[in-house]
Amino acid sequence: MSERMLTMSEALREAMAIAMEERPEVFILGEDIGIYGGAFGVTGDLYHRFGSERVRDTPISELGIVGAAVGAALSGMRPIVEIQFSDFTAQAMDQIVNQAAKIHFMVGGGLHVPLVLRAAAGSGTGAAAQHSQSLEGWFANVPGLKVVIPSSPYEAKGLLLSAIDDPNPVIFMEHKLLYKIPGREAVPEGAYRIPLGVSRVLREGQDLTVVATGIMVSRAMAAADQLEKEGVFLTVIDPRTISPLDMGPIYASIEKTGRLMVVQEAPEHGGFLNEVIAKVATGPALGYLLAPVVRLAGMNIPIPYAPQLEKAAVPQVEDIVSRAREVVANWR
Amino acid sequence: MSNFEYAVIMPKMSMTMEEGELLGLRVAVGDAVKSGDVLFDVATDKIDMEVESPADGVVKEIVGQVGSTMAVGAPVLILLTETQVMSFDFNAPAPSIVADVPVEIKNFHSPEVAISVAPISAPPVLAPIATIKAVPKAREMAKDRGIALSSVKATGPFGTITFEDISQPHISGANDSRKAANRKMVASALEKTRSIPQITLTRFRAHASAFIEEGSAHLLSTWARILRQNPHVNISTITEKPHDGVGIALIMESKYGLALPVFADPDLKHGSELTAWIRETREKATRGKVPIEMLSGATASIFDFSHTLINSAIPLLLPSHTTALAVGAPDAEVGKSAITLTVDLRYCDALEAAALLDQLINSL
Repeated sequence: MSERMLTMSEALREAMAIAMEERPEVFILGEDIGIYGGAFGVTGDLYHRFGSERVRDTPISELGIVGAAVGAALSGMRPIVEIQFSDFTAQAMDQIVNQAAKIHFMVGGGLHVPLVLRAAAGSGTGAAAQHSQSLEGWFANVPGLKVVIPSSPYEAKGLLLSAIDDPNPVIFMEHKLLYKIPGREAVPEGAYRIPLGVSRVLREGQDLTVVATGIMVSRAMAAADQLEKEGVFLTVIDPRTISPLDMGPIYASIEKTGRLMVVQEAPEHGGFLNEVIAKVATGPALGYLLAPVVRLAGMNIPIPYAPQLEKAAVPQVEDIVSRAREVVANWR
Repeated sequence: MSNFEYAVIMPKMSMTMEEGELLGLRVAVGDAVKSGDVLFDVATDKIDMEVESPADGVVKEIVGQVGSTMAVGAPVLILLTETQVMSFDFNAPAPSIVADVPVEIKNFHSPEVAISVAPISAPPVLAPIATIKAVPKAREMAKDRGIALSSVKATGPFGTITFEDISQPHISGANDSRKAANRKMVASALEKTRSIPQITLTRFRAHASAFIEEGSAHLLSTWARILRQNPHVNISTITEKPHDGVGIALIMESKYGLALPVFADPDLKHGSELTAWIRETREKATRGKVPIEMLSGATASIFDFSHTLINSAIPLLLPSHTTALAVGAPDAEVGKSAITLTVDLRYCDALEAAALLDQLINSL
């Protein structure tokens, strides 16, 4: 039996197809997702397989798209919204934050908004400051929203199926660079679901716990491969969903390693992984720390257009390697 | 009884000090004090010092006269306290002032055996925490072992004390010396029983319990039932009188080393109740608090290794005890664990001991 190595685009498309086959109320809407197959080719041939009613091209109005999806969700549908670049969620913020996230609570739990908003996030494609941001922290700060950041094709398929099942609005942040890269792990055929709110320990090493999200997970894994040859052993944990956030495995790992590094592409200032550090500082694992926590994050600048600067603005494998080496050597 | 009278004495604060002047009292009779509160001030030929309370408690009586010069070791005041002592001091004579207090401990038979506290070294004087940089794990360790951070050399970045710094073998804390004192006390007690004629017998049996407390509880109550049926081995070897009830010391780890809390009449309790009692006592021991009423009245001891990697152990008789039991962990190949029984041959002969061990294993 051959193991299927898919790209994240293929895995996401497969998840949406499965969901649409399972439930008639699932449909997709967004800009250029139909005939064109999506700005990053994620929806691909779904328009031809499921038709224009269920794979709906929309006008260029993010506020209108999300507004229509909230209405559909309230009336029993399960819409999947695709936003071409997550930066454009800024246009739709009122519908996401003031409507989708709140309605269930403002009517005493009488209504649900089972809406999934998929958005292409992150830098690395030369798309400049308005098309390259990592805005997950915005949404994690809004109660009522769940926030998922898949780090590989395998994760993307299982998490998206759970997101579609979820009765709450779920923001699904897909890193653009992951779309075209096959993952390290095979993607099973058919449906499987990865529960939201369960961190995954990808590898265990005794020296340093690295918590990373999205594309930083594969960079942390590459750094761990490299450091292993030097005798420095990393534990890599992918929270998978940042809202809700599963701290248990992170606490348990700090107990074993005594050192913590968090890695995200979003700017350091006010970034979501600071929440992980805050929970460690105020929680049961503090007493196990052997060293100050290391924060590796994007610079506090808009993402530059020049390719060298764009790369320098966010953590790369070599940054993780050098900071990890340093913290392990200096704090015994 | 839940309170224990403890004499706070004129401390020996230097090698040459033989007496000290009681400069003043900071507490009055009836005052509630916390461990570490200053009780009184003392002047010596070299230094004036505050003497702190070794435990939480209430001031029961003031013995020393302010302004008078008192010999080292003389009681200054009597504290009514929950003890922090982990085991008997089998050796020490009771301080006279304490001996005058009626002892109300059940099953406390021997006039030779007196309870007194282990020597408690003065808590280290800690520098304000803000002036010393240390990683959290080093701080935790300092707290656990009673190490003054000011005494540790920092080698970490920014002059920070690292875990490695505080783990240096030459660094010892106040709790380490308390542990050492406790260890010495247990060792000297065992030295006394070494000359007793004894025999040690082992049998294997299938043994499994998910939680150590459950296994210990089962053993305690079964052995207690057997001792109750055999009064000639449920006897204090000092008074040579059988006990009314059955008391068994269960050896456990405490904050200050081994603790020997005695469980009175464990066979009369429900299994779950006894399990909870053991668990609760173990938690108290971890915090350094074994109730004083649990420090005496045993004729037997049990050392439960069933949740370790140790398969068998030879139990030693504790003073005044007639029997000692040790339980090992199941052997990986055979799947059975060793139960080892030591008996005082003056009270029980070898074949009789074998029968008791058989009876125990058959009843488990």
